[in-house]
Amino acid sequence: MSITVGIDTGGTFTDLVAVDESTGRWHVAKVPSNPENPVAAIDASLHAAGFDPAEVSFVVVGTTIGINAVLTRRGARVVYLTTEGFEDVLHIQRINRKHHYDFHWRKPIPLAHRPDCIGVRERLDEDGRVLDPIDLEALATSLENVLERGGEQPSIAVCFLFSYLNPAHELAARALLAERFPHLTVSLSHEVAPIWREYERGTTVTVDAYLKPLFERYVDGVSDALEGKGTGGQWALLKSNGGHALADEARGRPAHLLLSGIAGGAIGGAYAARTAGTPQAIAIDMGGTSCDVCLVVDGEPLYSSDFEIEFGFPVSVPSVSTRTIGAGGGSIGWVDPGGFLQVGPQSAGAVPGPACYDQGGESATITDADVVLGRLDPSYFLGGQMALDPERSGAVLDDLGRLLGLDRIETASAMVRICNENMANAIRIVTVEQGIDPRDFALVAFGGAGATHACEIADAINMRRVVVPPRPGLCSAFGALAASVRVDAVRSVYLTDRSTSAAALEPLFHELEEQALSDVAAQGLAQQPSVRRFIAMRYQGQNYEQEVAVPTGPVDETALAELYTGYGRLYEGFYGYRLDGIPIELVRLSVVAMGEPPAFASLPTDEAEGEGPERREVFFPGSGFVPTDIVRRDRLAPAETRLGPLIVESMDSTVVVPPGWTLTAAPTGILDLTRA
Amino acid sequence: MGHWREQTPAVWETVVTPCDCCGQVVAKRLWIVEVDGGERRFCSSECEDLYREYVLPRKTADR
Amino acid sequence: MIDPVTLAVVNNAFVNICREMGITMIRTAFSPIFNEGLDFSCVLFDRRGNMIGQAEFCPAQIAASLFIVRWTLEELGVDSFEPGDVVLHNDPYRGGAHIPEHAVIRPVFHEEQLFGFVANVGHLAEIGGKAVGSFAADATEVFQEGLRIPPVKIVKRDVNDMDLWRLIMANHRTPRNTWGDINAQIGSLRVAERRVIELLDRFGRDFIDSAAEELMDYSERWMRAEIEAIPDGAYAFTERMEDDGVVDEPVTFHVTVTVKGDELIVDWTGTDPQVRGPINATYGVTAGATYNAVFHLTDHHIPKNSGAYRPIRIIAPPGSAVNVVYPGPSVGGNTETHPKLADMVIAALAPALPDRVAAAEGGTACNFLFGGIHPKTGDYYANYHLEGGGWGAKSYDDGNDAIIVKNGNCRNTPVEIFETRFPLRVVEYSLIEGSGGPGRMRGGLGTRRILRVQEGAEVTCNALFDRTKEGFGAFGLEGGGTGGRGAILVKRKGETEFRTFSEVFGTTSSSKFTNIMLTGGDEVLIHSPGGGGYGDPRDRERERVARDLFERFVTPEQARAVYGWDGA
Repeated sequence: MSITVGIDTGGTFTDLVAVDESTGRWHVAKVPSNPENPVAAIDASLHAAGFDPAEVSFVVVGTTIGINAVLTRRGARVVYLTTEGFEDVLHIQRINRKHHYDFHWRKPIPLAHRPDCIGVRERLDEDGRVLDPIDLEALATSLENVLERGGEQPSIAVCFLFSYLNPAHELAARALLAERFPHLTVSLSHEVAPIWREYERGTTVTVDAYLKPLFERYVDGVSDALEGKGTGGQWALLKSNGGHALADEARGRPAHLLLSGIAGGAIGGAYAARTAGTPQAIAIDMGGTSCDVCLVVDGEPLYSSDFEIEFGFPVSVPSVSTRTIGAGGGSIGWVDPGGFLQVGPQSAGAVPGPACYDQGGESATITDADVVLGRLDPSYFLGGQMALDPERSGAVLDDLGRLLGLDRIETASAMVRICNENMANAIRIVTVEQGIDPRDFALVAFGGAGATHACEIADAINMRRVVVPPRPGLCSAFGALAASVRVDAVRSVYLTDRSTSAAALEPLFHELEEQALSDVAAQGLAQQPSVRRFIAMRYQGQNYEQEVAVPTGPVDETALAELYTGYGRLYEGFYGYRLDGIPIELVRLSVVAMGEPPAFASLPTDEAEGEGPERREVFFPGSGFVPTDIVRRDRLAPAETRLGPLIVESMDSTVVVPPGWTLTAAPTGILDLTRA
Repeated sequence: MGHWREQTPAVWETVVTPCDCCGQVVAKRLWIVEVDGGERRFCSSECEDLYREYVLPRKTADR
Repeated sequence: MIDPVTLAVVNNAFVNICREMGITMIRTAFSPIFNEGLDFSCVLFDRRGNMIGQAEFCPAQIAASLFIVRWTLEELGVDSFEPGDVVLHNDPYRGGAHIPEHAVIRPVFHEEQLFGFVANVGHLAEIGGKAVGSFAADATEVFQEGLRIPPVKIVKRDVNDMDLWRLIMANHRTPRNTWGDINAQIGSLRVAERRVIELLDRFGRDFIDSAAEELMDYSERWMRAEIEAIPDGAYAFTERMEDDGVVDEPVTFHVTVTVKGDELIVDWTGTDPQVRGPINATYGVTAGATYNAVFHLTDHHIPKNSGAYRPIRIIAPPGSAVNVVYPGPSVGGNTETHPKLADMVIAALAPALPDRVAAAEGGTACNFLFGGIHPKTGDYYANYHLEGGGWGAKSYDDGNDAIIVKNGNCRNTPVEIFETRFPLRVVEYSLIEGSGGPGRMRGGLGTRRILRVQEGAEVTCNALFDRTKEGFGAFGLEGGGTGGRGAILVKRKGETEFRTFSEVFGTTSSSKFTNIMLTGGDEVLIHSPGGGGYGDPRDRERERVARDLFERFVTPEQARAVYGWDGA
């Protein structure tokens, strides 16, 4: 039992990457996903991988069922129990709007109907002290009345004001529910997201309740399937924070699984960045519909707690910080009413897909543009598994071009350029938010379309280095495999550098650590996890905090003082002025307990079947069509260096190396591209 | 025929003057025209046109 | 002619630079009205005073930024700017929307030649004057509203003029926030300057100059095409505001929108002369409201630069309530008058564009400003609190509940943050059932909030509300009903009923007052108004009425009497 497996169930494909720890041998598989029956695809991928299921010791699954259920509104009925007087918090929301001049936009519809939002007589104050004790009898009566009305069996979400400071009332509510309504699933806000801001905590706990029944069924289904296959070992789900948790435990906290299907890419990208020796990187996972952008700093993805399902609908759990942009292989080129060419966010998806898929697609997509520009070989798409029709691409680009007064090549080239600029702009915003200059970073590109566009995107931002991992189309599944146990224990506080001390902070951190370590222990982790502490701080009066790492060991006064001065320096470094004398607020403490991330001796290698053409005409902006060498990825020798223009093809993706760029094939299988 | 007049406010004058047609601030140069029985001060010759085409006919109608 | 692809790239770059400016401000500013409220805007100008890019943070300042920067450049002279300078001003008579808004302007030099300017405008929460929190609701002249700063150089060649800083901070009640906020604004200008220089390095200065010109022409052509499509004619609308805070008399506003080919003339002649209290609109507010309305009714994709504004001519007679002259007060004009003016232009064009308009929104930000010494910490605090109201219904859909006025895009303060910072308890925060103006499409609901002053605290309050009187609710369109009224009421400790501040404290206006002291146990009730309805409520789809009843957005009484619901 030496095989560990990572599975990523995406919208179109379910990918599998597995490694046999005893031999170092890799197994991969890519099968179509089945949105109606997600478990079936997992089954199919194990079958396609070809190894003996009895050899499997551990499986990590990244899944989009959570986020899809929320986006398509297919979760459970939620009854929301909250402090009396605040039943409408989910409906009122934050009173800002998505666009400025748009009468069309409607606020997100909450996951709980108004009649299912029940006020409970209880009240805590801003220090967590009890102002009104909780009236449990009245709570029971209100819930009985709601249930008597009939309707679907609800999942209960509880969110009391200031529960993040004092959980007693929420715990009492759960105890009552366990006693009187034992068949109902319950989620408590202080467990799901112990942070302040009642709307953000409220939406997060309702998402948790909304998804609980679904994940119960899913985990049971996958467990049955794995058992049926004879896969003995335990299995885990990938969490939004990029760590994995045993499925039986993770099922109880579905709000933490929302980005399960996206975190894999960030973990995989960070792994590639470390392996390539570029720990400061921007990872882009460019698929058919969209591109996920994630910053990697010091070899690790950045984390944040401000993910939004849609504008105005936040889910505040620590997550890999990823920005999704509507830019992918299926992004459609269109002309706006002013005559400007735009690309995306509308996408042709997988069905009908780009015009060249010949499945009825009528729109010109980025894939069509890449075909016409000679970047993609229509007879070698997906390693030849799918034949593309370049005539269809040409036709739809002609049609689009007519609206612009351009020929098909000009149109294709313009589409690619606009798409790359959109990506570049998104990357600029992400980096400016972190006070980072992207020019010092490497671009790690994967997903089906990432490597095709990476160098030109890098050019647009003045980045000089691109890293393409092997099997870039499987990077998310690889990420699931490369994940480790990771527990984030967080807690909102409201202290200032004047009002607190190292002595006061230590017990708070200690408590968080105990909690984190106990969660880690429940995962059956063999080694001692690494434990790191963070304080989110800001100047008093500001509203945006920055997380600062606290040195290891018990908190001492000197280290704390150094943290504060360090913060001032950090601030001045980026913003250009000092704010000495203004108190520093500490607003959140967090502890991250993490198992050692796996370090594999090798990476899954690309396979290329058959010989293809050795040269063809490929279009590059500024040069037009130039004769370009084509090489299959597995034909590159370790440490081989080639100059652009060059195309490197594999089943997974096509790497485009423009003139002026140099490619080096690292022994690890990673392709390292630099601009001269 | 209109002409530009540059304003030279005294040091204690802390306010700027508005255009007689559209009401916009005239920060430095006034466009001076004899119109409608008196001197008018506009922000530009475009406003003089607007005044003649739009504002004056309405004033005459009101009388 | 530059190819359209490159033009699009350059336009996106301009907008992105402004966005980065804004993100920097959000991360570093102190006043919550800045960083939660997003009450600021960021713009990029060429050296001729044309706006070539803006980022969408706060609509109120669209026009203001346009004029503030252009007129400052004209007044000081473009040649008076040196590298590293920053000009500061908040003068409402020089293009500003109202006095709390401070503009900072910095030249961008590239290879020693002036390219253009970066600027932003932001609302400072405390600026001196007669009332804490920058809203002197019963001010009769600008001197009472706060410290007025004409265009002055606060930074010269990257060196702070500390004399000027000290003078300003000596006249604000929370000088630390002033230091933090204005520095946040200036810091973001530096970020923008770097980016502009990078852009000029990348494309070349002459190229960017040409691209900017072409983009402005492009926007102008597009806007003209949009206006051309509106049937020619003169469209008029009249609206009234309930009082001005000083004199208890309604104020009348009037607009005539003339569509002539591809131009609009928006003429506010017929509006009352400027009033004693601070609900006068400055030119910046009136122009801002006009553009706000036109942008709602035209295509969102039109790049927002000076070209887009060219076909829109605005006439705002000086000395009227839509163009206040010195020393008339105007602090309330931005939040209370702007939304009404915008809704007037929209409503005027309703007959021509019935499917693009919306009925009136709540139309008041429910400005509630308070401050004092916090009994727990001994520190001085001040807060600008606002609410979202219902928005007007459209021909095709209901209006949103609880959204901020259309001149802003602020977020509310979470209860947990509010109670942690201030010595007041939030007793309730809920939707007001039945407050949406009835119609075939329903207006959005307003909200109710009850605050209670904690024992041991003394809180000084000011309020600037509107739509609290009978007959002044948000109007409907096409037979739609009026939205529910707003309210600002008080219940002193030991009393049983909420009454107006006029009844309890003798304020001249019950919706606009300053410097009322509340003590422990006193409670304040705030209602935000609902939005107007669209169409006859009896024509509302029965399924929608059923859902409204189920969710209790409408009361059973309303459903029966107004919507003709028979219980089926």
